[in-house]
Parts: sequence; C-alpha cells; structure tokens
Amino acid sequence: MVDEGKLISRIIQGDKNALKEIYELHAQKVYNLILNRFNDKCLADDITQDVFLTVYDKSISFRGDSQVSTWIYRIAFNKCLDELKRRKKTINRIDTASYQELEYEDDTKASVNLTAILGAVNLLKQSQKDAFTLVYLDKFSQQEASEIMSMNIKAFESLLYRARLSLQSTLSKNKGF
Amino acid sequence: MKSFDQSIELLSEIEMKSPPVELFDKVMERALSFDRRFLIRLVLIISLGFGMTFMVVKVGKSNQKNQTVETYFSTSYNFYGYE
Repeated sequence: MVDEGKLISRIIQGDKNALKEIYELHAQKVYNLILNRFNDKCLADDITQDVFLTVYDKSISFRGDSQVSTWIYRIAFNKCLDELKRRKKTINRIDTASYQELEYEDDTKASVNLTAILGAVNLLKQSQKDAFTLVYLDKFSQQEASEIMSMNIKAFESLLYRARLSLQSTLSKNKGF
Repeated sequence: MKSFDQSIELLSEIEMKSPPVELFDKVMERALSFDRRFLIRLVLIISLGFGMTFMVVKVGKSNQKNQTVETYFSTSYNFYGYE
C-alpha cells in the first residue's frame, strides 16, 4: 500500500517521480470522472492535466484533513463544475449516444436499456445528477462522494435518494417500471 | 423497485476508459514550465528588492549630505522637496 501522504511530501520537495506515482494511482479515475460529465476526450485530457498541475502547485496547502485521493477527486470535481459554469447552456449532459446499448431482461421480462437510463440521468437536477453520477458512474462510495461534494453523509444520502426517486419516476413514465 | 435497482446496476457495465499514454508527458511539461515561471518571478522579485534597497540606501546617504541623487538616466532629483 502506497503512503500517499509521503508522496505529497515528496511533491512539495519538487520530486517529479512522486507526481508520476500519484498520477498513475489516480489518473484513470480522474479522467473517467471528467469523461462521464462531458463525454469529450480532448476536454478530459485538458482538465486531467489541470487537475494534476493543481496537485503539483497546491500540494503545499494540503492539510491532510481528508485522504489524498479524496482531495484529488474534489479538485477534479470542482474543475468540472467550473467548466460547467463556463459553458452553462451546452454540454451539461452525458452524451448517451456514445455508450453502446445494453439490453437487460429482468424477472418480469421488462427490458430497459442503458441509453434510456443515461437519458433520464440527464434530466435530473444538477446536484442530484452530480450525486448520482459520482456513485453509479464514477463508482465512488457514498462516503467518498459526499466528501468530494463537501456535504455531510446524511445530506448526501438524502440527495441520492431524491435522485433515485426522480430517476425512477422518469423511467417509469418512459418504460413502465 | 427491484427492477429499478437491477437496471441501475447496468451502469456498472460501462467500462472505465484509460487516459492517453502521452498525457503524463504533457502534465510534466506544464509542471516544468510552471517551475521556470516561478523561478523567473523569484529572480525578478529579488532583483526588484535589491534595486529598491540600493535606491533607498543611496537616497538616505545623499540626504545626509544634503545632495541631489544621480539616477541611472543622469537626471537630478532633489528629494529634499522645496527648501
């Protein structure tokens, strides 16, 4: 198990290899976190670079209140929010077309496809969408996701519950759940 | 609800994508240029600090002698004011 705190100390001392180690540990998750929000590979490249440059630049201000991984994902999440604010009206949605359609049969033979679910996620309120995406697409635990969104766990659970209800309601209108 | 939970589980089938291999090189390049910019700023601030200190000392000395200060541009200023 890598001691990420020590890696941060090495980055503060200017050790570029430590930055590489941190990058290798977290780049994929950061990259997917961005990709799940914008579905734009070039933008994901740019923001991922920005995230690790911020880690390099601001490592001295890391106080160790949270885990290093949570701190990095929070930086990535905040950069996504900044980008969303910047281009408010356009790419604030997951592009469902890029995901292959996966058909799923449940016990009652009702079929749902992934595209429909992602389409319904797009219709959620921004905060609900963020909470839902962090847990179900980015695959963070609820505890981690709440820390990334700087919320307490109870408030996050409630937000996620409301997101699931809204999603279920939207899907039931479309598919008859 | 069971059906809904099952359909939500479909999302876990979306594969995680990997960032391009050369992405870290770009991060490194930007980190190095960041370092260079930091050093340049540091050198500028230190030079400015030394310059100002030198100037203040020079003015201080000239004030003691009640003389005007010769600047780099050879312009004479009387820092004593209107006496």
